[in-house]
Amino acid sequence: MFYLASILGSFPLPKTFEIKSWNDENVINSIKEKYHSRILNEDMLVVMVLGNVIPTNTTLMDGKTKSYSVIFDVLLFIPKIREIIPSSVSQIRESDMVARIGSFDAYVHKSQILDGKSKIDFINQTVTSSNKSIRVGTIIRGKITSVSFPHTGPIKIGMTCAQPYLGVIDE
Amino acid sequence: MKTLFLSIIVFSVSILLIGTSNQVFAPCLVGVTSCGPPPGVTVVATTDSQFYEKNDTITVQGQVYLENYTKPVTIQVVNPNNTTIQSIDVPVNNETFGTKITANFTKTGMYQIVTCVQNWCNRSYIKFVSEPYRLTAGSTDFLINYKSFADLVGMEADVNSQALRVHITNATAQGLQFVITLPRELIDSRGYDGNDASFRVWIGMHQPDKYMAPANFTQITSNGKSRTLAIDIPYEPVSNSNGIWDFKIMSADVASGPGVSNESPLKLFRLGMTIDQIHCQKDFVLIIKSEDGSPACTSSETAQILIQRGWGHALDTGVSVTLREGQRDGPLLVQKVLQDSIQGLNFREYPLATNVGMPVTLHIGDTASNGCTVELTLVKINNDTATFLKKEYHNKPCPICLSEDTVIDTPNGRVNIKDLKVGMSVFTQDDSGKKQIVTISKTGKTLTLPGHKMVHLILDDNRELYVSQNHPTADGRLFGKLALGDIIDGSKIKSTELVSYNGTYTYDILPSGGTGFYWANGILAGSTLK
Repeated sequence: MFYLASILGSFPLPKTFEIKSWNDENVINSIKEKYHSRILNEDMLVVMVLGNVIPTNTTLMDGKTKSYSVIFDVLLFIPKIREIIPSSVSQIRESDMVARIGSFDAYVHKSQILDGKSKIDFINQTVTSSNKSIRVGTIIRGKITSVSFPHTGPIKIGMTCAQPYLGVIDE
Repeated sequence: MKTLFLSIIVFSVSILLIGTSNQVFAPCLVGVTSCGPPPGVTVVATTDSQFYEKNDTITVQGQVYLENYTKPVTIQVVNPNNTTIQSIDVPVNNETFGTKITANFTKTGMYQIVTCVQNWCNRSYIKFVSEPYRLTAGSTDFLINYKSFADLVGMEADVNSQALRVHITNATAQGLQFVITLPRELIDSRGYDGNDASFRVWIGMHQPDKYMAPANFTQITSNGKSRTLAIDIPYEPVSNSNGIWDFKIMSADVASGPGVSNESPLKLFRLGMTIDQIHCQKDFVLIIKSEDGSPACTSSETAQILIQRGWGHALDTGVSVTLREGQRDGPLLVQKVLQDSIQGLNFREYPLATNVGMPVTLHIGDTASNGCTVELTLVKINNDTATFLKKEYHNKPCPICLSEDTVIDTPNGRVNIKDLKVGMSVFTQDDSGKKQIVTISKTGKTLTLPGHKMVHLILDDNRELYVSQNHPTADGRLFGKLALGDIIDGSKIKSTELVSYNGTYTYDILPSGGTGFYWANGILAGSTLK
């Protein structure tokens, strides 16, 4: 699930840099550099720094660099096991299917794609079962089965669509 | 276990959020539909209102979602420039905290009350108004206190509608209100008994009055000097973000007692109100003074006496007129009758008399007028016929008289027309063309509207006159129709032009005798009085 939150953080800037506005490009970029794609609390990821920066009264001196303590808004992604979430199919591969949840990829193993026996057509990028068909661009409802926040690289999300009420979202 | 703990927090936060209207999180991004406060939130703080004015007390209450948390919480007040202007440490007891802040800020705008606990922060957005709105009505300045989460665009006193109009924008959330303190000296609403009556408040999206709808409002406080209303702002998800909302605040509805002003009817009339917008106190009736068309409120017995003596006459309530395509009544020629409107030509006599009809489209409630005496209001359309309410205002004739500096020939010399009274002697011309001395049988003066035009006439022998276009000459023509080179009163016209008239009234007299003629600035003229 995506959430919006205000968090307290800090960012460095050269001591000589004069901040004219707390929402100017330099400040936002410095915060983004530190917090974009950062994992917080081991279970949530900063998708985007939204700004709305408020300085707090703390300014730490450190040689040539100042560390500014600020409050700012972020968009967080916090995937939860068993959470049912909509996503858009982006790729159908030999062993699995990739679906986009916002800016993240979730993987659905071929055994978890549709309830019952399904047939995958890699050339036309479609998966069909007895009464449903999935292709690239189809919006599906999936249940998160696994989440991994590795120290390096993107987070890994496993999903299933092979349960009642999951799969293609009926128009 | 951790999931259970988070679930409890989410549930608790949700419960708290449902009960508070001023808890504002950053707006959802486009395409993100499931945004909201994240699990793991450590603190939530709310204020007791969304908007404050100078020296109001802001009550902040909050809860920390960490077990056995005992450290003080720092509450920051952040001004519209994103600068922290106050920082208060508030103790936490039983995971709750609260404080009161005096809103003595200097700048109007959006403020934030920010509370952080262990890197999670809560923002509550409030709107602060630092000073009242200064409204000038007539020659008086009124300071009007107001507060709202929406932005004030402006206010104006609409004398014609006897209403206060308020314009706001950026009403971007549900459940918003506009709170306004109305000075009684500016606008008030009283019933027959002289006690306070409810105001009428209408609201619309910056559109004509006829599309406005009644607004929900309550009177919060009242004292001898002012009354404070809290008016609900309807929530329109699309239009609220950019649109301007208009409020129209008026005195009591006619149905529950006429809107009665403390001012005299004559004063309201001079302020620009029309006769039909003026109401009398209970047991009094409105009559129109014949001499100048001004209103007066008297008891019904007195009104009868005044009408019998010719001092005044009763108000015309109008007659019903039905017109089909091609038919004309007074100033209106109906050309097309449509389902919800009519199209036609409006012939005006004032402020500029013309025989050319101006194309008009009238919807129900719209009016066509000759500019002064006749008014047709469209009230109903039935197939191919349109029904109008026709009102004739004998009390406000089209100004067709002479300027206030005109002098009239009398046996005592030339006398300013303003100084002439009934019974005074004046020269006239009898049916055979002979000059005679007669008495004045009637005098009249007519209020002019701003922009009133008069004919400035100069003759070859340098006689000149300022006269209304529809004033008659002695030979039956109209002064407005005279052209360069025409002969009037034995002399050729050297110059004729329309000029603006700055006087308040135009004047006329009626000499006794058969013709009613008199010499104005030495030029023989007819009279408009009968």
